[in-house]
Amino acid sequence: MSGLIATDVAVTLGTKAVLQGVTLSFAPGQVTAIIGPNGAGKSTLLTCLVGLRRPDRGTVSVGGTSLAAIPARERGQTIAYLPQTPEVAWPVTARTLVGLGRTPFTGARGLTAVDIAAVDRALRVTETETLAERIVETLSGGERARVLLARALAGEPRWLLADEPLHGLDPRHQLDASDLFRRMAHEDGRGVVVTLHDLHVAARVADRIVVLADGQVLCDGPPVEALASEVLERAYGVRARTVPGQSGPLIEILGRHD
Amino acid sequence: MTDRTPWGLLLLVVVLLAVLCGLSLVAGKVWIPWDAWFSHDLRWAIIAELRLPRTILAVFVGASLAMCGAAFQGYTRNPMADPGILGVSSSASFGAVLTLYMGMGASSVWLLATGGMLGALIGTTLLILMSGATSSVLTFLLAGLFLNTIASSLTALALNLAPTPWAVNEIVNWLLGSLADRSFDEVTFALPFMVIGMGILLFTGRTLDALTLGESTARSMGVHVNRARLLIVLGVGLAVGASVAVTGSIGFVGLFTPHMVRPFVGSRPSATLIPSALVGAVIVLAADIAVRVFPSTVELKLGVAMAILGGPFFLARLMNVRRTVA
Repeated sequence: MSGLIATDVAVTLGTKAVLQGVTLSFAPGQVTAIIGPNGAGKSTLLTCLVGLRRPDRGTVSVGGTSLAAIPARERGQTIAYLPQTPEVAWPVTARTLVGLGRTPFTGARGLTAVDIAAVDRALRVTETETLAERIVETLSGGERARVLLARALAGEPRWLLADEPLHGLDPRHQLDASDLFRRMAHEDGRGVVVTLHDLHVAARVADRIVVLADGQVLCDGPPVEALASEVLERAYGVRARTVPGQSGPLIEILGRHD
Repeated sequence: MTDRTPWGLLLLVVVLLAVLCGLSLVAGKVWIPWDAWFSHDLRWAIIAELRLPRTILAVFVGASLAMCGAAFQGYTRNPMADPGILGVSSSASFGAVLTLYMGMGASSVWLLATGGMLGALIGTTLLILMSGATSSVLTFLLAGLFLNTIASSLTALALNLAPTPWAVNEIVNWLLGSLADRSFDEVTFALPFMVIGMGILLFTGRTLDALTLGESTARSMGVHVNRARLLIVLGVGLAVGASVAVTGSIGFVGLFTPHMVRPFVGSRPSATLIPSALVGAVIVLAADIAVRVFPSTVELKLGVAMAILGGPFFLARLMNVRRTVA
């Protein structure tokens, strides 16, 4: 029972049933991508999995314990969350920002030697050491995304849940970040769950893809299966053609599905 | 800009504060040189009963207002946030004005200050109730704005309906904000609240820092954002409430002191709390000394002097922002 498990999770926002009984189980050592059309409930599902939102129905558990029963600080040590549009309120240096990722471990005394070592490791794996003393506001989009990722990694969490972490990155930086996610999962044994819009990126990064549509799981399987043309037609309402490519399935959108 | 604490600079501020404290005992309409401090005559009475309490109040009122400003700007993640817009100061003002309106405040320091403090505590309680347990920064600010509007209009109403011209005069004079003629009664009354309030705020540093990353990220890192908000409201309520209750309203210190310290201590909210308090104490004490030695027949009100200082500060900020935006 080492997995992150959602059982029959349902969330209603206002009058809209955003999630209608989602049951999923995520395994450590794997990158799972959640894809689906706008408004399918991807971000809401992620906030439930992180423990930021308590579902109206159903439960989320990690390692066999219900998230609701885990103290907030301990939960923060186990699961790191990277929101879709991360905010940075003050002109702080990248190192300070990454240091904030140690918050679940720190007391009133601030960062200890252990914390500082973890911050250094996070800066190293994200290749942001050279940016450490720069003010985050002055970084480029790609640099900023890497620093924010370093913040999430600084807590050395067992789970990383990221909402659209590759959005707005150029192909090279997407590749770098994808590789980093895969290394985190395959080499360090962490569980990585990301929501993605770009289907090709999903095909490259994910070991497993969950297709969410109208608050329900439409398909759950390896990329070749989840990105099949029939699945995409039903999920997005488009005619698509999926062919095998060198780095994963290639998807061509042919037109609207009428 | 650096994120490291410049201890040397902070020490300099402490030394400056100590020098100003000494100067504050010397300066005024009557100059009393150091060697006459323990002279057991009238000059000793001036020092012990007028200038010493006035100096202590200036230091703690300045520290309270500035630290509350730093904490509040950190919580709202808005560098233009002022604890005044929370409505706690206007509630305290209204409480004090009510005692003046009823003609009791002028006769007793304790009644006036108690009225102010009660106003602050009621305002703080209302703010907590209105902003609820799960509200965001936005609903919190709206609740504060509402409270501020109500308390200010009630104060205006008290002026409007004031029974005598003397009551109007007393109210207006009090509202302008001053440290003149304060005694140890005010110190004994306000000091505990200000110290406890500032102490509470010091506990919120870790949360304020985490909030730099936004509310949801902070919560995902295990930070109790709602508990911290409660502590901030309580801390600001006690410290600002007590300050207003004994001095009337003194604006701008809370707003601009954090801006003055950020270039030196960095922008991490927790790093600005204590430096802001020290610098706030220096500013209010210096302004109070200036007010005392200003050559005019009627003593300038401290609140007025601070407001006059505030104008150029905003102009400088505006020019700075325009430069970086352009």
